[in-house]
Amino acid sequence: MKVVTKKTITLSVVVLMAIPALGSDIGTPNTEVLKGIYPGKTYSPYAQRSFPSNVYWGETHLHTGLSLDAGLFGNILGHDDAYRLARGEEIKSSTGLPVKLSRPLDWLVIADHSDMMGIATDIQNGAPNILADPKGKEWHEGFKKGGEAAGKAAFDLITTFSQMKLPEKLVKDYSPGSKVYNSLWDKIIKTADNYNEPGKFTALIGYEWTSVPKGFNLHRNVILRDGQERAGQVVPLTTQPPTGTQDPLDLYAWLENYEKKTGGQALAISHNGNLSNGWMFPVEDTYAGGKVDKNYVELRAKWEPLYEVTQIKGDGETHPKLSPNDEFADYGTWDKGNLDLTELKKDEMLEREYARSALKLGLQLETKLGTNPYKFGMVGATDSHTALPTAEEENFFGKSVTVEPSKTRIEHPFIKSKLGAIEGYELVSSGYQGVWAMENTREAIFDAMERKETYATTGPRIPVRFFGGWDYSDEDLRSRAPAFRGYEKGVPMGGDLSKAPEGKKAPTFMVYALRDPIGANLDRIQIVKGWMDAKGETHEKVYDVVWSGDRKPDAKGKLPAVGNTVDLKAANWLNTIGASELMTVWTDPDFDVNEKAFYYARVLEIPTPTWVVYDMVRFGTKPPKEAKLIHQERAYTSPIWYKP
Amino acid sequence: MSIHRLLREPLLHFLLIGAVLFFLYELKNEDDAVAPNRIVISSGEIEKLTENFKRSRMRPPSEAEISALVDNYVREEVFYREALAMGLDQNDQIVRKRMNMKLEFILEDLNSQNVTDEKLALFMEENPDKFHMPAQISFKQIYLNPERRKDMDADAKQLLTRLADGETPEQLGDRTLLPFEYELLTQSEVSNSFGEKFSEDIMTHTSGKWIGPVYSEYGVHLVKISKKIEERKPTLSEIRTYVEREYLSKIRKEQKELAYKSLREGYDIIIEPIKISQVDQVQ
Repeated sequence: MKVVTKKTITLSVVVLMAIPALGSDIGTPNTEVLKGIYPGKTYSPYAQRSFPSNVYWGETHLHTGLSLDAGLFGNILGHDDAYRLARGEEIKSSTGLPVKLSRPLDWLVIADHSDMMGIATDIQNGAPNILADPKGKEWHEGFKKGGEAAGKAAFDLITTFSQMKLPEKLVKDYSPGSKVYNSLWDKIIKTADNYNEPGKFTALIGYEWTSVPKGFNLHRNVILRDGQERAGQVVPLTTQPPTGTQDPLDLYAWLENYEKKTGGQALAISHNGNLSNGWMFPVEDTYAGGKVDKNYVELRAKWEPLYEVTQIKGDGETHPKLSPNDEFADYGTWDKGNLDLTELKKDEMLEREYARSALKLGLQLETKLGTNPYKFGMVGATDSHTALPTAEEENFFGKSVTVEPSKTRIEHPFIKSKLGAIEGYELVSSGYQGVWAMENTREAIFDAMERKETYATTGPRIPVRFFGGWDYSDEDLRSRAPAFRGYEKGVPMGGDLSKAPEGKKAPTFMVYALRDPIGANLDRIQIVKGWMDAKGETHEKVYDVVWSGDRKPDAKGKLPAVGNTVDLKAANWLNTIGASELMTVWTDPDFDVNEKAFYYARVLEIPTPTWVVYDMVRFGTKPPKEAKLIHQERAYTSPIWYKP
Repeated sequence: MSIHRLLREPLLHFLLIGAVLFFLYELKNEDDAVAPNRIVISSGEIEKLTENFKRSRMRPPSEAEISALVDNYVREEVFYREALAMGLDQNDQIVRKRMNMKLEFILEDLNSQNVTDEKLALFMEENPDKFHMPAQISFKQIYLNPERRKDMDADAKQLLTRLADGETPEQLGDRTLLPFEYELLTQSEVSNSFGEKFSEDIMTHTSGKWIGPVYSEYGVHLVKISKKIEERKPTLSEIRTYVEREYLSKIRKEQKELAYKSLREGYDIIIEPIKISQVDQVQ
């Protein structure tokens, strides 16, 4: 029977990919199979869906000209510009280059530095006071008329202002710190509310708490679920004492207070552990002088459900020295030192800097303290300071305005100190975040982040599903919409598996990915497993679970490379290798019911040119031989945890 | 030297003028700054500092924190005044940027008021392309994977016949991550999922029966358009938020430019010729 044939195909993915075209098998409806596919559901599988069927693309980490450092580097764009670009409009970059995203983003968090955000602005709220003054009334009328009259009124106001001839009352009202003078934060909130359109585009309100003691990157981005009504009741936490603080415990208190005071919700995402010199994922002492104790792990687990695993300042999934058996570990590696290169990296720091290793440390801390502080989902973001969230290689506008596209941009070191330099060509054009949410709203996107149903990519928009359960079978994949089975029989990425049901020997994982519709084919899907043995030691292993073509692993289990079609002269590649879609059900062959573990999927694209190659072709740039020209972009799903 | 001669001595004139100037300066100083080196931290100032702390930390400061706030403020003020006196605010990029930013914000806020429906309607009329609503379609799709089929066109044809005979579409074709059903997408949204060719192709069809093969970035599809809303001009009430946002953004930009122009007119601006050596000759 044809159906049976298909079943056997899916048993092994190698066979699946190698199978000759089945010209006649275009899906015979078979009642036996149909009955099994949607048990207990209404016939139409698309009615009454109670799980996310869309992945929404965005990023949580964009700076605009309102960030002091970005402004200094020449960024003249504000939140309006950033939202416009994200929504698909063409705008002009700070250096005057027209820029547009290949496709709009579905949502965006602008996270400007909270320090120095207290700039005074909004004169408009003082309208009653303005009106009480004859001069003020005159201006007000002028603005109302608009055009020439408004221009004149503005001119008049400014000159009066600058000559200190303003009525005393107005001067008092508009001096910094007074009630009338609203902060930049209020402006940020208003703009977000303005561009937030439920169902179409989500503008989540956020900021960056830029804690960077001694150059050790311990930044967190704070994201709020709410709009003006709640976000407007607070101002962001800063880091400069005495009002600000560098201690994450104070940040957690801020988050707690925010929820208590406003009834809203908030979360924090840390990033760039790779530049923290061993302080991002502490196991004994925290940099702020605290202990990694019960209180710390509980609060961290509560407030930091996600970790930003890839961005322009390097990819932080794992490090080649931490994962020597992982041939793809060396991607976007930045391991020279801390953020300002005032202290060089030592090997023993790495363990407390990278996501995979932190996931392992989390298992140990959980055993020791009762809570896993590093049980996080994966996020990709840009950390771009250009107000332009560009993560695609052929459209990369750099880290700051000074390195927007130009012939010489690869020559400028990103950081240079006595101890060394991180070169311009080492910037990584990464990343974006895919969110499996019920709809495109602040609430739905935020809630998906809280339950970690999100994943990171280094830029391409690769749809990826990852489910864990105890009895996924190849038949589940046969379904035209495997997600139904995924949610019905197990948990999605970010979820938990506990004690195996009777008769089940090992967990099964259903994973599938589709290539970016305008991107490169897929090389393979891998599942990364980390676990803790009876002695309390942790281990990791990377399994190739499905791949393109008819490649066969060698005697040592190593899968041959997919090949390479990159044409460096044209900055191009061909989708003649790889697969446009990969899927499989995988059972852990090394499972031990007594060992806690985590599993996440890593999806690799076929080799493509890096942004440096596009600069070579478009500007005639000649990069040094150290520059990476070809890479395999990737997606990292949030893990699924197993706890006996 | 006689008195007469002395009175004609230029040096004396200078000294006298200097003395007068000095005297005037002293007078003025006494008038303007009563106590130039006094810093008063009023209770209002302390209130402001604690208020700021409370807003940021969402709790009142402790006694130690208040005194740290005050100490910090005094320190800042002393340095700030000294720095100003030394002219350190001059030729400083940060200061210039910050001042520019503040002024721009003030200008923007000044002008974001008084929006009427009439103005918005007129703005819509003047910008028909901006507010045009593109066509939207809802459709179902069946996917045929080129990696598994020798003759996709033939397969597509065969499937079409079976669909016409009333077979259930949900289980036909190859499995895929692509959803079976899409609701009210514009052409560019379709293009984001299937590629440009596919989106152009299906937009030319009208609703009704299954059609195909339609080629996408992934392979071949059979498509049934279930609903199509033609492109049209929306009413103001449908998209008021959007129109208002666009309108205000345009007004803000214009007003800022106008203010700049008027302010600029108050200056004599002299730009010396640009030297050849200053120009990048490569470009």
